Amino acid sequence: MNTITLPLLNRQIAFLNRLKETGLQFDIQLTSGYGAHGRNVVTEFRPDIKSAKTYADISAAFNAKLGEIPLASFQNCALTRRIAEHKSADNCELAKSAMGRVPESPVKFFADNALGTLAGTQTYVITKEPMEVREGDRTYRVLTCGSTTYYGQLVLCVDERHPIYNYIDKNHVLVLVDSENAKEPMMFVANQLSLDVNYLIAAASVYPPALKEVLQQEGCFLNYRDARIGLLRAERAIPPRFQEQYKLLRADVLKDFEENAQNVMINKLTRQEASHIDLNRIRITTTTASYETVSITADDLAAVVFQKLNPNEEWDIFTLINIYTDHIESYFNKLPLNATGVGFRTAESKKFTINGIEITVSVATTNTRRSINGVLINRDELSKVMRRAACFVDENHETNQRDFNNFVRDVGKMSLHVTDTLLQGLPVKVVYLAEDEAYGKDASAKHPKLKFRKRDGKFYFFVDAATEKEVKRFVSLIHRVEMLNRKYHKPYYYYGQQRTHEGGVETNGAIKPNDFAKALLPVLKEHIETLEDKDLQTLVTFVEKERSEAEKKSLKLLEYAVKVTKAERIEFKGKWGYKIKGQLRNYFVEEDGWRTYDADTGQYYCVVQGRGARGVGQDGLVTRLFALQNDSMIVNDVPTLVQR
Amino acid sequence: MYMADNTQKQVKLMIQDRTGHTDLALALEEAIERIVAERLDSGSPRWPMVNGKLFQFSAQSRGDAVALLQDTIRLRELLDSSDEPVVVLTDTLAGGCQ
Repeated sequence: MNTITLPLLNRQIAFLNRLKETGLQFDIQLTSGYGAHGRNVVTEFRPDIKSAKTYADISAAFNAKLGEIPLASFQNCALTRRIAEHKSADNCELAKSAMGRVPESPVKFFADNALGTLAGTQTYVITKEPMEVREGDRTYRVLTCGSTTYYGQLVLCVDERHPIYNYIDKNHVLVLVDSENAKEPMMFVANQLSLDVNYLIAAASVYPPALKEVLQQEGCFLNYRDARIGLLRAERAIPPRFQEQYKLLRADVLKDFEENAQNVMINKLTRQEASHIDLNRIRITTTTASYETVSITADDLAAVVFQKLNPNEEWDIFTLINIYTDHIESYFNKLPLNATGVGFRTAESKKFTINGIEITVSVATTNTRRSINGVLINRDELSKVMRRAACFVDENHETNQRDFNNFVRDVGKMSLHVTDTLLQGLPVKVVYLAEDEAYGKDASAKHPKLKFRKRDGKFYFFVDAATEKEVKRFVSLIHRVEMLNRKYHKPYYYYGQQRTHEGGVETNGAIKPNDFAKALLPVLKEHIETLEDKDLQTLVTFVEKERSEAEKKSLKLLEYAVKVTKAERIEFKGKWGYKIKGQLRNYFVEEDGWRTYDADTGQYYCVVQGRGARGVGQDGLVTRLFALQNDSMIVNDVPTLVQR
Repeated sequence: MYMADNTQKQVKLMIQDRTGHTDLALALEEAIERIVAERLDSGSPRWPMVNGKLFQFSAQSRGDAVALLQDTIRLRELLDSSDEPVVVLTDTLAGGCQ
């Protein structure tokens, strides 16, 4: 059933009455759909304007509303024909806080939650030069949002006689207000969206006449430099009966601002309005980010990392390093090959440093491989190899460079992926776990693992603890199995399956091959010539039994650790985990992700498994409980815990 | 489970590994040797938690003989002073890098 609020209904009826006064002919349609913000369903008595053919008619319709009108309301008029011909006529967008990262953007801050969804108030950023159309003696400036006549909106259409005409310009902000507390709608243009301008929009949405003495140029322009003084005037002009409504909205704007303080600072840095910023105790300039003993330096660092970083999620210096190294890997993956396909079209290189370790990634015209510091590295391991430089934190810079170069040399000899697979096994979805719900996800460390070993230069595969068979083309096998992992997931219907204790499903009865395991067999047989069909059941039973027994033993160890450390299982920030008393502070460790927080302040500490970790199941949690209880003794290994 | 000579004091070792963990009951001297080996000989050294407390080695390698001797004396005294010593050998942690 379509429902509508009384203020909205009143606004729509007022618009239809004003539209009638223009002399335009229209029918009224009752429509229902997502509003311009796409967040809520809006029921609307929408005019179906039949007689608007010229820009003068469109302008008359716009002036009757002073608000966005769906282009679909106009039947075959000059504007819709023009948009259909040009395919796209987008020249403005609803304001979003994220727009602030573009260097010349007028958006310094926008309260997405408080003002972005406000009924009757729309804030548009003019992103391109407005469409300018000459018709008869008049020139019209037109703003539209959305690229098709079906989904698009007419945002503004005024001729040169309108006082706002001269302010309709690229990088200005257009605010359209149709408040339930005022008889007439209003609009104005601002040259920047600062915090004070956000407050003024809030004031306008509650009581539009409050801005009467604030707006310049016949009440249509707001200079952000005058916003602070204007705000004082506007707040005084709001009648007492609307003060409470305004204060609530103002508090919401402030809350948005505080939650997005990091965004605001990042925007300042990327626009080069600040030489550096300190976030999460990381000092960041446009070219460097440093935290304690870990740092990264690159010419385009800030531009790259802040395109991808979501500051509202938990992040640290390693997140920045990972984003940058992923960017470098992606950059070199996109480079074109030359005509013969035996090398890249041009030789290129990129240089940056991590912890002072110089890293040069390059490609040549003579081969199709990528190299790090002169050593050829597999294309899908570039990022992983680069980010390992962050692990070398010796005070002696030369030692770090030497150790990293040795590491790169070793990876050049034997792939990092191969080394990890030999050490840790290759996870496979022969049993589906709770998280295996979607296509395209890799198997995790919690899945059963195929085991391999290398002897005398050959790779061997364990069918069970006692049986091993030689593998041909080991790297190809790894890639094929990983592709299968991404292809298969938990069935939607559990016919013939039963749930596992982790919330996943397995084939009914004993451990039997699921559809993934059945698809795995031909791949294994392709690479292991002596493997037979009957080996599949043995293999599935072996890897699953190993996994489930290891999980159970790991839980026993956790029980012991909880008892000895006197850790307390509690709920913190909506997640279950353990509170543990350290020597420096109290900690909370999540039982799922093992993420570590200060239990008193909520501060996040980046603590990860050390190199070559061998534990399974909840062993990572066990390690954290013991180690954090002894935190002052491990700060050399875990510098992120240093007392500040 | 491997059972050692029961005339000496027994030390229970719990070693984190791919099987969930391995339980060992070793005589005092064997236990000390195993703890030292897990700390200094392994490519990925472990942390020994003696009755829940981290035992800190001052020796960085086998070649650091004086420090190693002092470490083993301290470790022996610590294990000997406990009625039922339990040592958990855990993986190590690091400050953020993966």
